Amino acid sequence: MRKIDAIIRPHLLDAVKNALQEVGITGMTITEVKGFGRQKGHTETYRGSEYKIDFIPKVKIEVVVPEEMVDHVIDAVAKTAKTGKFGDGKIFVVPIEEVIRIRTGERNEQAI
Amino acid sequence: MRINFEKSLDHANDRLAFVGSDPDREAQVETFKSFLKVEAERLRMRHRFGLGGTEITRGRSSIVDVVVSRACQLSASEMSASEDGSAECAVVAIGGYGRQDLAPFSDVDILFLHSGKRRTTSAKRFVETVLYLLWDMGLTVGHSFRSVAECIAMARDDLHSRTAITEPRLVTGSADLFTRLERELSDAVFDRQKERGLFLDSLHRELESRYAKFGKAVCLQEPNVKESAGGLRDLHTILWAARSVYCCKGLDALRAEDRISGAEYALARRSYDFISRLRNEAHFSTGRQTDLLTLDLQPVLAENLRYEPKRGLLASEALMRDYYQKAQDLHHLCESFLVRAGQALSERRQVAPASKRVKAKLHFRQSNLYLSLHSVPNRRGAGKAPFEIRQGRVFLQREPSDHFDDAMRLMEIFGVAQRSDAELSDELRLSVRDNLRLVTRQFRRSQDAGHLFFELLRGRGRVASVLREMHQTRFLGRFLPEFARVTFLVQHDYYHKYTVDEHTLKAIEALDELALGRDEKLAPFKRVFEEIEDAAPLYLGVFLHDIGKGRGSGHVPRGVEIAERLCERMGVSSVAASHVVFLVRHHLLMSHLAERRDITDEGLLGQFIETVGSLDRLNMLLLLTFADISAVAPQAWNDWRATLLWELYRRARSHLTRGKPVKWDGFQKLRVKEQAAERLSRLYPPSEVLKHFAMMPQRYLRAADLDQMVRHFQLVERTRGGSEVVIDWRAPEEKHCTELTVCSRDALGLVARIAGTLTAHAVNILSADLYTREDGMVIDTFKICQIDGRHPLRAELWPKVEENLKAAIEGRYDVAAAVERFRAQVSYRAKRLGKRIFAKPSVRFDTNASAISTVIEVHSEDTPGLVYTIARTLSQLGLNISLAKIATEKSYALDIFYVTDSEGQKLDSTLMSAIALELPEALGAQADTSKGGSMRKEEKEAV
Repeated sequence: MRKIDAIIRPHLLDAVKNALQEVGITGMTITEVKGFGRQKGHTETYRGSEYKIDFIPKVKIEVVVPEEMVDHVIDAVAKTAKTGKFGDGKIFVVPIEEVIRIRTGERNEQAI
Repeated sequence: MRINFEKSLDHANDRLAFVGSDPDREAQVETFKSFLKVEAERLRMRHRFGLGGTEITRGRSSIVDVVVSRACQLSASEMSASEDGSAECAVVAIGGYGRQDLAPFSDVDILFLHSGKRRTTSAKRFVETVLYLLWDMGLTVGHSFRSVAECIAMARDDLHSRTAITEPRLVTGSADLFTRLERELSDAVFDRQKERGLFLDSLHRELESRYAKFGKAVCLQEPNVKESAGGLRDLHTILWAARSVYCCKGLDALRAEDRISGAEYALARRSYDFISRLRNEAHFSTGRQTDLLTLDLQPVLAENLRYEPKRGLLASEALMRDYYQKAQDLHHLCESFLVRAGQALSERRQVAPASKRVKAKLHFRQSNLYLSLHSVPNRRGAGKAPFEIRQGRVFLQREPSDHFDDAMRLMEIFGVAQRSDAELSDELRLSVRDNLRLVTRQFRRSQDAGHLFFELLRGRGRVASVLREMHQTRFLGRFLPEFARVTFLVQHDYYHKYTVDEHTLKAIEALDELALGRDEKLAPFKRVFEEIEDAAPLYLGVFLHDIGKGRGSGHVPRGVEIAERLCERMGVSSVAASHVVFLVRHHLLMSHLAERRDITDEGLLGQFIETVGSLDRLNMLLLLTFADISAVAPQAWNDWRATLLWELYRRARSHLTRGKPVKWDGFQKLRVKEQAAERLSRLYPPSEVLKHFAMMPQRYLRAADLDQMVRHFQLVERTRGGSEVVIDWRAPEEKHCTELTVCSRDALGLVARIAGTLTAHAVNILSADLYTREDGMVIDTFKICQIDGRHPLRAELWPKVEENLKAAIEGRYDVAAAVERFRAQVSYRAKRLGKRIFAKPSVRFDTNASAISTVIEVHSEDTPGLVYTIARTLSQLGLNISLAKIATEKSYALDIFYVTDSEGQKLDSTLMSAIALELPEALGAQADTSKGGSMRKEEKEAV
């Protein structure tokens, strides 16, 4: 099982959510976050001081999926979240040790 | 083998020519990437071959020019004619890129200048395309997209933007736009009268904050070659100031207009080139933008730059010495240039020089009132005092060329500064530096000079500041060439954080602090200082204590030689000279004894007192030891060390003042024992009490005090004949640690079990006194503290530790496993000192320090569970430990153990050989497991 963290543009959340549902995701967690990458938050037409760093609001989507679905999920997010401009975001894949469904006590694959 | 720019251009023409023909963006990016890779490799080869720093950075700048131009061409060609934004754009290199000074992994700063007209959308699209190309091919671009007006506004408001744009350079695009930018920058920003003063002020402020952040001293152990004092930024600051104050762009222009002398020009270029080359090497070696020379990076750089170890210096130390010299040169140049620039500005700004005086006269003539004014010439020099103290700084009232006719005048200035508790003004410092040639060999040998210098050392509390002024102006090194030899001398060992000269000056500062008495905790030292009549020999002793360093081992005898010569040359009285030589010869004696030996040992104490000889010398030695340790590193002096040192001092002092031989102390101790016995006999059967003391080892009677003797007996009683383990806790205020006493029946590996349990609870053992009664009862006293911060152990933790200690002693607690668990928790980053230091743990034996035990000294890397491993190994060999002293310094540990064999005798040679083999092995094995996965792969193999 793996967790996929995707940092994306806030206005594309709906599109990505739909794409994920089409792939067969059964649940996800969303957080509002701030961040920057190599360009320090500066857009192409930035005018200010090259040395300042700006935090840009983003949205983080977390989904836990079985191994076989990882590539499908990555594709779905990457295709939908891409605009080709700086600030499209990143996807991280992290291994998961255990999953438990609180209500029933089911574990791992059954709990996803 | 200069860089052939044509070749690179040709290469570019080959590889990048067809880029436009293939519209596949990915393929284009790939082509650019491989071009950059090849060119970078070529640069690297030339760098390895020995090409200077500025050549390489220039080379990289040219390569980036080529790439940026092609990328712009490509983007322009892709846009249709109507929306061609490129014509309305200028692509301008700013910052280091503008100066054609790009280190291998530096950012590239580009200004995309647009015309400011409303229809800039096509310009935007052009810029976008170029930028994405540049980023995707791996260049780190810092960019801005501005109109000329916006640039001006930005340059006026933001210091960073202004300094970045002092040397802009057109890479490609509209030349008209660029010319406009340059013109407006000159008019509105750089050449405006009003702006200049403000700019210089803000440069000064920026300098201060940069130094505050990255290091004010040139001789940092880990300097940032770009930002620290003496780094590349110092030259950039000169260039920025030059642009504004003198309207000169670049070092060559400064030289051409004679704003800097030929010597300064050459110096600047040499220093900058060297530091640049060093920086390039750092970038190449690490593959990133590395400007900080960490301790573990320095040997790598030294090797790659082909430095060899020479005459006692490691390759990395030789490299750093070169760096410090160049950095110091650059730093001084920057300082003096800024002073001159400031002067130039103030001269221009004032309508009339402030020092001119004006006389006014009113007179009547033909019924009209006239006012006549004439200026009175300044009377300089004649009859006036040569110096003036303003705002805590010494100013020279005469022309330097008139005043400095002899080196004595130079020396006197420092006297003036010391008496008035003032610093030298910047101008005066420059004047001194300019007149150093007056310090001749004759002057160095003159008695007057020597006496004057010695007098300066009498100014308690004010010696360090005056010595620093001398050092900064290089006067000190000229007057005392011996000191020049240890200037910038790096000491890459466990303890020392500063170069030898810096360490020495810091030690003098520590002495001054004592004299000034500002720290309450150091009041006892101040009282000792006040007992010393003549402070000069002490100061001179401290000044010379490390003077013999830098030529391999044996710095103490060499230091003695140098001290003797120097005292003779300076005409120091024989009494004072003997003190100085004594201090230099024995400057390590007190700290070694206090920290590494049993100071209750009468033989040792007697030797020490004999060597010291007098109370005066004991006092001086104490203060020297304090100063030396304080100056080693910021946290080197701590309460524990203070305790040890004071204990030794008190014992020695009581002998010296009473004038009685050491043996007398034995009778003293006997009396203590009798008092203890008497007290106890009131509560317990006297026969038991006497039997107890009869069975205790000799050392116990020497070392324990009344309180301890009483308490220990009571603890033993509570064990009910050894069937129980009794543990006692104490937190004596003045001892700055927690005292833990364990009373039980002796068992195999008892000490190891206790040590291991303590380690597993994040407790540090500072020292251990281990007494075994003849009938097998054990009274072990440990002085402990918390592993980080060296604070006494918090009382809340005591019950848990006690519980586990008891379990461990009774065999119910798996100590080895607990230690392993603790080690796994503590993540130790890969050690940051060079390879020389942590080659292998070393074991040394001292058979003379004690009459009954052999002393084992273990030097090794500090890892958790060190004491545990050593104790376990020693007990497995059947040895008894009676005393242990543990000293840790950052990541280095020095552990002392007093041991006897199973029969209570000193160790024979077979045992010693066995220990010499087994201990390093056991420690090595421990080091491997503790480092585990946190080390980089290459280092693991090296270990």
